[in-house]
Order: sequence, then structure tokens, then C-alpha cells
Amino acid sequence: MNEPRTAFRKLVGRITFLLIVLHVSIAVISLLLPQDYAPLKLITFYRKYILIGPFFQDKRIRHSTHLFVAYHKDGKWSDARDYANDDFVYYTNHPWRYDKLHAGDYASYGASSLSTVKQSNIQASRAFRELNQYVNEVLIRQQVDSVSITYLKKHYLLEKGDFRLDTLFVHRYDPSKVDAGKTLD
Amino acid sequence: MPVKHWIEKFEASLTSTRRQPLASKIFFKSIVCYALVKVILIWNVSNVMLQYHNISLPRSLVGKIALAPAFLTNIHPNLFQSVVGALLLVILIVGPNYIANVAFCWLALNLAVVYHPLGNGADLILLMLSVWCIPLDSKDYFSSSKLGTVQVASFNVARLLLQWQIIFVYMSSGLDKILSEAWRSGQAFQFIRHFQGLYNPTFPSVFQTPFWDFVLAWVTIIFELSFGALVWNRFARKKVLTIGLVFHIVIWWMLSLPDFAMIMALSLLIFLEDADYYLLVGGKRVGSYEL
Repeated sequence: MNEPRTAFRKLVGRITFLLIVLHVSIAVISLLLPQDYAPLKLITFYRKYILIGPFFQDKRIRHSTHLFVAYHKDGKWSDARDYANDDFVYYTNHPWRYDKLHAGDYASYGASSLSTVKQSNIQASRAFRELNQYVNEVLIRQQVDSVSITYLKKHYLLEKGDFRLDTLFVHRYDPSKVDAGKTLD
Repeated sequence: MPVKHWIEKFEASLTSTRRQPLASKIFFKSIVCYALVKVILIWNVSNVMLQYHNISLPRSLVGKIALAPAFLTNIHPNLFQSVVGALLLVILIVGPNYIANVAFCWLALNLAVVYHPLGNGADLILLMLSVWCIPLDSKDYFSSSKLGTVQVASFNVARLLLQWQIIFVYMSSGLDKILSEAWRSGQAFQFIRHFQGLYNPTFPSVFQTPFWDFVLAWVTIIFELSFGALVWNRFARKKVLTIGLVFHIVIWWMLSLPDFAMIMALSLLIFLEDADYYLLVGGKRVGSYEL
């Protein structure tokens, strides 16, 4: 590139430089301001899309959430099972089975969505109908009288070297009385 | 005066010629390849999920166009994955150009929406990288020198924005960790070890001591906070990138996050230069020579 720098090139260079400086400045300000303080929507936008994370935050690594499913059939209840954990354990022993790592994610996502729904409206909610259909057709895979889903938080207590369980919700219901969550065309 | 001189030099470099076109192309292809591999590996699981999960239609026309591929899941899950997989394959073969880059960003948006229930931060990182990739086109389309200058500048800015995106991800996490007592003391790793569904029990038990908790926590904090400063230094760049690669391999194994580790490891490629690849082809290992 031997041609002389034109005024236009200089202008473009200056504008792009200023845009980069502006971008970096906004990102740094968004990073340094207290997390619960966002005076402008731009700051919120930058925190969500530019400053992706932070990952492995203190408050998030202290507890894990689990969905336990049990069913009632032939007059007795099955043991409550954490299907997502079963899939995770399978993945750790078969690390090439990446699909197993995500196999339990949808049920956990459904349970997480349900924890924000009012218990009185739970069976009418789309999140519940989707989760029920998934639990029955993918996890239980048999005709049952009742289903019990328990969603809980497992906190690790460092001082005691033990866990504390917080139940977020328990719901027992007759799956035949719940509408389908999704019907494919 | 040196600052003014540096700024002028930097401004000139933004418009003179495209910086590191080969390295940028390899970076682009690698993240497209990542997205394609993820679609294939997760096909069965997402297929099952999509039989139960509804994707809501946005009301606006723009929203409908933006999420058009995602709504294929409401017709048949396999249709979405087949279309997205085929388009990603075409983009991978064609390589970066404006149309392919926009298409890739469009697909990354749809993957982020559809895989949301299965997701972690990896999909959002892929989406943001795909956004900044849009101007990464090495061909000159305009005879006008003014438009050509804009094209060159947009390419170079895109490359810088990609680099800053990665630096911000590290800075954000590093700052959060150094402000956390659990991370500073190393106790964070005790919490992680007892986080069912995250910590991989096959990770060597020799690292499960308070000493290693402390060391690993501070290695993480120092790496995340110093990455943005050291990666611009020509003597430290390759060493930092090598440490970054090891860092993400450990995350992959210890924290059972292969997709997150993979996209972060691939994102380090944007800091490589064309010369690094020429050296690699010449038979020398990247990182084994002094500049």
C-alpha cells in the first residue's frame, strides 16, 4: 500500500479509533460499576452481551438444583430418581457421550421454569404441561397412576462438610389429567 | 507526543490493509465448525427436547424473520437441525464473506434460542462472536477507494472487537472472582467439588486438597485478570494463549463443560497471526520461537 493516505482514510481511521475507544470505555465502566447499579439501559446491554458471565460465581457454585421423579403404580410408589444425575454419571464414565451430558438439561430447565409459577396455577401452565409430557414419555415411559416431582436445592455446607436440602416445590398429580404441552403439526 | 504518535500509527493501521486475513479466516471457520459439530453431537438430545418444548413466535415481522429457522422446530425437530446443519456445512466450505457471515450470525441466534433449555454460556459467546464476524470478508468488492477503505477498516475493527469480546469475558469473571472471599481463599473449589452435575469425579484426586484449591483458584484469577494485558505483548502472547488452552482443557475435564471449554479455546485463535500459521506449516510448533 504505497498510495498516500488521503484525508478520507485519516477520517475513517479516526472514527474507527474513537468507536473502539468508546466501546472499550463503556465496557470497562459497565464492569466497574456495582452489579446492582445500571443507570443506563446501555450498561445493562453491555453486561448481558459484551461482558458475558461472570462464570462460576460464588453464589452459583454453592448449590446445585435437582429434579426427583417418582411414580405410583400397582399400589406403590417407586424410588425418587434424579434422571439428570444418572445421565451425568454416565457421561463421566463415557466422556465421548456428549449427548448424555445434556440429556437431563431439559427436565431441569422445565423444573426451574416451574419454580416461578404459582402453585395454584401450576397444572395449567405451559411449562408444567411440557414437563409432564417429557417426564412421562421420556423418563418414566410407562402408564402410571400418579407422578411426584420434587425440585430441590442442594447446598454444600463447608463448615459441616455436609449438605442442606431446600425443597423448592413438590407436586403430585395424575398425569392423565394434564393436557399435552406440545403437539407437532 | 509518543501517545499521539501511537494513536496516529494505530489509526493508519486500521485503514491501510486487512490485518491477519488468514488467521481471521481460520478463526471464522473454526467457530463455524464448532457450531456444526455441536449440532451433530447434540442432535438426538435436542430432537427429543424439541418434541416437547414450544418456541414462541415473536409478534414483529423482524422477529419472525430473525427466528424463522427456530420455528421449523414447531413443524418437526429434525427439519430445523437438518436445515441448520446443511447451512453451516455450506458456510464452512464457502468460508467468510458478507453473506456467509450474516447467515452464520442468523443461525447462531437461532441455535441460542432453540438450545436455550440445554444451554450454558457457550451459545451466547458463539452468538456474540458471530455478530463481530460479520465484517470479516477479505475480498475487495468496490472499485471506489473510499468504500474500499471503509471495508478494510470494518474488517480490522471486527477483528479487534472479537479480541476485546474474549478479553471482556475473562475480565468480567476475573474481577468477580477476586472480589469473592470463596475464590480468594480457594474454598470455591471445595464448593465446585461438591456440585453434583458439574464436577467430574474422574478428575485426579491429587488436586483435591486445600493447597491445590488455593493454587488453582489463584491461577484462575491471575490468568483471567492478566489475559487482557499480556495477550497484546508480543513476547507474552503465545505463552498466554498456551496457558489459556491448558486452562480450558482443565475446565473441559474438571467441570464437565466441553462445549464451553471448546468455544473459549477456539476463541483464542483470534489472537494468532498469519505468521504463526506459516510457521506451523513450516514444521515448527506454535509458541516455540521468539519474535
